[in-house]
Parts: sequence; C-alpha cells; structure tokens
Amino acid sequence: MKHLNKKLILLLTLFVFISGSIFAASDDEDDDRDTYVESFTMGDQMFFINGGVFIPLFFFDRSYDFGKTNLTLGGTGSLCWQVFLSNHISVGAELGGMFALSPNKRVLYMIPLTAKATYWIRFYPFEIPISLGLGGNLSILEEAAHIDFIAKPSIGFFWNFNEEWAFGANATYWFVPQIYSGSGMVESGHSMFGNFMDVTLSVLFRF
Amino acid sequence: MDKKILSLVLVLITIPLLFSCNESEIGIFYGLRHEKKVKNYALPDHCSSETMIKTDGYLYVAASSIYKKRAEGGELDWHKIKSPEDYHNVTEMGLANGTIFILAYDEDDAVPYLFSGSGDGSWEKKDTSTIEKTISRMRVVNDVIFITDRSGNLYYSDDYGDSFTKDDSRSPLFSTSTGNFDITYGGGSYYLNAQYDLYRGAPGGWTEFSPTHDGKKWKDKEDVFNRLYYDEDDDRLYTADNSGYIYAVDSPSGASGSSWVKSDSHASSGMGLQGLAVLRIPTSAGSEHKMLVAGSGINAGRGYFEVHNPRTSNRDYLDPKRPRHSVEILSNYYDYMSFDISKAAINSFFVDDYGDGNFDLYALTFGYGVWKNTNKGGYVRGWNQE
Repeated sequence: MKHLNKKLILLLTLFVFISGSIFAASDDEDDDRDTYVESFTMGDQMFFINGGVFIPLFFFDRSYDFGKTNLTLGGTGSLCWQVFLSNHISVGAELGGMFALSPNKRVLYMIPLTAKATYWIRFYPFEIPISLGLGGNLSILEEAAHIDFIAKPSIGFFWNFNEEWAFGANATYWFVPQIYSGSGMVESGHSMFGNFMDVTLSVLFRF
Repeated sequence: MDKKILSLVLVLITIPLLFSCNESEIGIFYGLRHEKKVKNYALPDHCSSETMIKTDGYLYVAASSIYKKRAEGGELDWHKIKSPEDYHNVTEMGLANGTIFILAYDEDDAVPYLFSGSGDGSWEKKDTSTIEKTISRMRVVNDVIFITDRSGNLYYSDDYGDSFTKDDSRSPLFSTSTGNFDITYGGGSYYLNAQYDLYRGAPGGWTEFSPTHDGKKWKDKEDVFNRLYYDEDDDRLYTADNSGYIYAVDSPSGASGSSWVKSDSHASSGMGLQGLAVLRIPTSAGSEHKMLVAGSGINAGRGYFEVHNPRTSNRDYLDPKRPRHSVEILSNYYDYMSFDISKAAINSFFVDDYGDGNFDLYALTFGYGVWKNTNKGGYVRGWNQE
C-alpha cells in the first residue's frame, strides 16, 4: 500500500511538472505571437503545398459562344516556391496538377507550370496574398495532349501559426486558351477558351 | 541553396517540353464541350458480333446470345431472347424467307449446329447430315443458306435449311480448313469471295470472276480479300483487302465485270478493311451525299473510315479516309462526335433504313460491342455503344 502511494505521488508530481512545462511553453508561444511582427527582406523564401477541389466553369470559343465543360468536380494540388523581393512582394514558380472526369469517365489532366508573383496584404496574424501566375499548361485527355498558355490569378487567406508556418486557403481562377492554328489535324474553329477555378487548403513554410 | 532551387525550377520548366503532344482529331476542350454520355442499351460492352438482321419490324443481333429490339428507332433497349436449349454462343445469323437461322455451339463450345426460328425464343435444330465435316461458317443471301465445313467445302440450301447440297463446282473453297468467305447478291448474280479467289454465278454454277488489277489476275494477289458489298443503286460491287485498299467494279454481272478499280491509297497505317456499307444521306441543299463506310479488320488496326462520293472513274475516288469534322459543316444538324469507335475492329455494318434518307448505322465489332450511329438528316458522328 505504501509502495502504491509512493508511486501515485511520483506519478502526480511528474504529471504536474510536465503539464506545467507544456502550458508554460504555450504561454511562451502566445507571447511570441503577441509580439511577433512579420517582416521579410529580399531573399527570404517560402514553400507552399496546396490541395483542394477543382471546379470546371465554362468554355467559350472565338465567337464568344459559351458552353459547359461537361467535366465533374475534380481534384487539384500544387507545389509553389517563392522568394521575397520586399516585405510585400514575392515571386517564384508553381507546379500544379488537376484531374476531372468527362461524361464517359475519361480523365482530363492538366499540369500547369507558372511563374508567379504575389502581393501580400498583412494584418497580423493574418495575411492576404494576391497572386498572378503565368505560364504553360499541359492538357492530357486519353492519348491526346496539348500545351497551352495559362493565366492563374488567385487570392488567399492565411493565418500565421508562427514565424515559419502558416495555414490558409486559396481561390484560383484558371484561364486556359486552347488555340489551334488549323495547320495540324485540328481546325482553328475548334479553339476553345477554358475557364476553371480551384479552392485549396494551403500550408506555407518560410525559411 | 539558391542554385539548387534555380536548378529545380529549370527542371520543372522542362518537364512539359518532354511530353510529345499527340493531337486529338477535334481538340481536347472542343471534344469535352461536345461530349455526351454514352448510354448502354443492354448489349454486353465487350461482345463480338458479325451479323444483324431485320425482320417483321424487329432487329436481331447475334452477340454470343441473341438480342432483339424494335427496328427504326422504335426502341432503345435490347432484349435477350432464349438460345436453343443446351446450346449457346450464337456466332452467326441470317434470314431466309422470313425465318431466322443461327449457328449455336454445343455445351463444349466445340461444334456449331444450325437452328431455325421465328425470333420468339423457340428453335428447331436443322438436319445437316449431308455436311461432311463440322460446320465452320454460314452466310444467308437472297434466301439461300451457304455453309462451309472445316474441310473448306461449300454447301447450300435453297429450301430454307431443309436440305443441303454440296457445291461441287466450288469445293473446297480454301486450301486451309477454316478459311473465311463472303457472298453477296445483286443484279441477278451471286458473288463469292473465297479470300484469294472471286466467283460469280449461282449456287452450284460458279464461274471464275477473274478481274485484273495492276496487271495481275485477282488470284495472283497475295493479300486476302474480305467482305463483299453490292450497291444496288449504282450497280457496283465493292470489296476491300487486308492491306486497307478498296476495290470496286461497275455492272459486275455484265461484260465489264472485269474492270476493277483499286483505290490509290489504303487506310491509314495499312489497316485491313473488313465491314463495308454504302449510305445515302440527304443534304440540307436537297441533294444526296453518298458515302461508303469501311471498318478495319480484326488482325489490323482499329477504327472507321469513309469514302465520300465513291466512284470508279478515278482511283483517288475510292481512297478510304478517317472521318473529318469538316464534313459535318455541310450538315443542317450539327451534333459532333459524342464518342468514337476508334478502338474497335469492325466486322460488319448494318443499315436500319427508315426511309426518306433516315437510317441508323450499326457497327458490329470484334470484342468492342455493337455501336449505333444515328443519322438525323445529316452527317452525325454520334456513335453510341448499344
């Protein structure tokens, strides 16, 4: 019985000690956040991982005849690296990917690779990045593939967990003009402008 | 660190350039915008079929089992009807005097037998005791039933399957035991294609039909010929070979029957051509557009080809080509490809004619099901798997 009491006291002491350490650490982090002010200088870098839902919007052709994409909701993800030029402006590159299904379960894949510039609006502990990505997009449907230009304007909302990590969400518009010159197998009248968007959750790491 | 990141970015940029961009024929986004769901009307997706018939307002197709539905668009769904008891795997079908004839295999899947029926699921096994060996293939043309056995002998029945006569004038048809053959009828004459040899005449009275092309007699050709198709309106006989060339002869029953014309080019990639059919499509201008459709054979590539306004006045006018969308622009009904059958080997075509230029074109494939292309007053590429 005495042995049991001793063990119990030892366990309780240990628990109180560990709990105290944890809460003290939490308090420290809270203090850090209270006093932390984001400030980035040229050369500071960051890395994003994004994942979420791909939303097909509409197609239109050269005569502005709008029509459905006939695609299902899909999935999307991307990796993005950026470097700060100043406290509010960063530039970098983003490699993404998406998939969505056609009415006959054919899978459309698009792999955009864009140069990306972002302007950061900050009100601690939150940040709103407004970005524009421009680059190339590889569309693949069964055995067919085509590389097109892509423009991806986006807006996000991030919460800074600490000076390294932030978590947030983005909404991005995908504008993909799929242009055929008519010199190949596809006639120019089959050019089509793709309009899509994605909504993603994002993890940001600064280093 | 910065150099590493720069290297990574350069690698990422080069990734898309490594993809070879295979063009779709219609454009990826354009194809998606116009894609429609392929509906399945109860036929197995991967069945093989060679023959479809139309009788008494119904269509029947042999696709291992037998299926029927109302003709002329009266019904979308196919209904399975009973095969002969203890027999299955119906491979071939024909129509003579309003009676359906089928070849169905025994339980061991080894020997096919001939049955007749009216399409209500009751079948009568026919007496084929005069056929010396196991039945191989069947064709029913102009109410005459033709059968080959595994020795390559040809038999025919002109009394609707009650008795079979060995056709001594043309037996054996082949040097091999299981050769393919085809027969068609038109202009008062039958035409028989036995792979390397062509004959015309009548059952029991065949004569060699020895056209020449490229300075060679027909039978000197090393490549085999496939299906025959007789176009009654033009009094023209067509066939195609395993290299993808199309052949045509005008007035085949007459003296000019030896003046065959061979297409100048063959189907892309040298695909052998098998199924043939001629369509006559009314145009928005009130005229008629004639089109020969051709399906690739089993042992070659895949897909579907067209010859627009086929003529024998020039070899170019028989060249088979992949369908091009530019043709649809002529149509007053613009409904582009919902799904293609480019992966299919097409055994034969069947045209369900409604009259007034309206028809359903069926493509019977090897292992890729049965497909329908509905003409709604124009060129429509809306192939739908049945």
